[in-house]
Amino acid sequence: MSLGEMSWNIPLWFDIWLAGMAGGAYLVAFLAHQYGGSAYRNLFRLSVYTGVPLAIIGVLLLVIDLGTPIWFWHLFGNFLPVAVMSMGTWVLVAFLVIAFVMMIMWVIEGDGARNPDAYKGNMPNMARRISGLLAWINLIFAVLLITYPGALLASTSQPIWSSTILLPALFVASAAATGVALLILMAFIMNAINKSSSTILNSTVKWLFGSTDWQISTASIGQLAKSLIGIVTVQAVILIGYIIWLNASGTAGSSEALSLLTTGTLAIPFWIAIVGIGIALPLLMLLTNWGKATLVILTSASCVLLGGLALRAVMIVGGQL
Amino acid sequence: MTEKAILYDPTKCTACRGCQVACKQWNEHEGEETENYGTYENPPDLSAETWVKMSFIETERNGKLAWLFARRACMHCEEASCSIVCPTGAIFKTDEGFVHIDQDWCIGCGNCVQACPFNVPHKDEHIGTARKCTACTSVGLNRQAAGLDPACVKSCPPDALTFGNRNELVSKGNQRVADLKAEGYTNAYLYGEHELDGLHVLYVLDDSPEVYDLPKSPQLASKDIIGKWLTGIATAGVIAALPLWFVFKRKQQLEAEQSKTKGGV
Repeated sequence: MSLGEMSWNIPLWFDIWLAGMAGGAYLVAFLAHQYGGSAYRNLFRLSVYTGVPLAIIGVLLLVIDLGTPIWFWHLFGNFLPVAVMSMGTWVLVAFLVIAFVMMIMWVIEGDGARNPDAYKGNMPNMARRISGLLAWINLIFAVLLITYPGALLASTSQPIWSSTILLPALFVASAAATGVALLILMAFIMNAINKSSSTILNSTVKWLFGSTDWQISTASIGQLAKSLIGIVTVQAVILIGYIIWLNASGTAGSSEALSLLTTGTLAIPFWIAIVGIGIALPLLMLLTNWGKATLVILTSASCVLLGGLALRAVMIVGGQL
Repeated sequence: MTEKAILYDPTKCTACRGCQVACKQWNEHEGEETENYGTYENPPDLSAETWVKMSFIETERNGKLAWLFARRACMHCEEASCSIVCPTGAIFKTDEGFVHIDQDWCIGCGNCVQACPFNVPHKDEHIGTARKCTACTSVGLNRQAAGLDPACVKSCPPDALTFGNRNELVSKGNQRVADLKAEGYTNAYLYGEHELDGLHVLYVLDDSPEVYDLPKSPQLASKDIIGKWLTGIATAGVIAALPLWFVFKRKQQLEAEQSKTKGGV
């Protein structure tokens, strides 16, 4: 079957790549903030400000890919727990709505700190508390958001997706890795904005982050790079588990699916893009330098992002060949 | 309402493909331009405009070539994967047990296309929705409501297709299977009696399902769905508890302890 004849096509590759990045960045930055304290506050906000637009772009791509895009609202006519796409729709809506409210709360909080007289009572403080509570709730939706694409593909009759129950695990690990990679790249961009002379960019970022001190420190970027080593290792272990399971599954079509990936039509993108660029190269670069050189960190993050896209593309195409 | 079914007996089928033509005519579907690929079988696959087609199978039996025919169309499963995964609830079962895609509610997401264990639904590139055999119950073209057999059944010259009450057809199919076994077809089998909690298209097979390109034990697409969600969620937990905890919590604690010790000395 050629690419043009597949019912799930290129827009879906990008949708689940972008949604994975958004949810993965949220998961990582939220936990960094919880574990590491206020040093990671800006990183967490960066994950939301970056993830929300990416997830929205992903949704728009998905809607465009529907046979009848104008009827996308039929998705909201039901709540069907067993239908993964229905659950995914509601999870995405919840994630975006909560993130949007959090952003409003942050802006109120920051504005209240700068202009305390403009607000009656304890409103900025209340905004801070509400955003704190919502951040915990959205952690659940972020995890569901990155689990959903794998569960969607696994709930089909295509052997490459459904022969094991590890596809959602693989996609979650990859989402977390691409989320970290996104945060690293965005942190460099943010710090570049800080150094730039653009008043509009600077004042916008200050307004969003509610603080004049919104740089992402080199130490934080270094910690992100270290976490990338751990997450990519988890992804590699799951990938090996997935291959072993596919080999041992014995279900109809599973051995053909394994050959397709490892020795057949998709072997080159599988070994070069997913394993080589997405896993081996960044691990090798980060482990030998332990995340100190800027170039190593930036290159590794870019490789992880490309590998993440390749994983989704290869899997989506592979299920339909 | 009594459950209905279609019984297909390949041992009576002559592969005249009258059913294919009747289906096209009744449902007002266009013919497809195809290229000869070295077989009488045509078109090569089901599509949004081809809801039933005959497959030709060449296999070896007792050192001789056997030319077998199989009907491919929606199996109208009792446990229908397409219906379970449909995110809008557009796919439903009629009281008689036939699976129907509501063309006014389908959004063409393609999930049913991927979920069907028989590769039946296809997305219509022009209309945008997923389409498949309705057992002639389409709105405005409902033969069953008019008391008529589906068009494919009505057109079948050798009576290889029968339409009726499912229970009666199961008995009839099993009787035919017993006859085939008595004639020496030891692998004869009534496909659809139990698969996916019972199909509403039953096949009298004179050989195992694999010979007829049918999945031996078709599975529901939502099988293990909870496990599949849980492995993803558990992976997020592992990432939170191992690399993230170690890098952002434990390592900082260690560094703080080290600097304290150094400060003490």
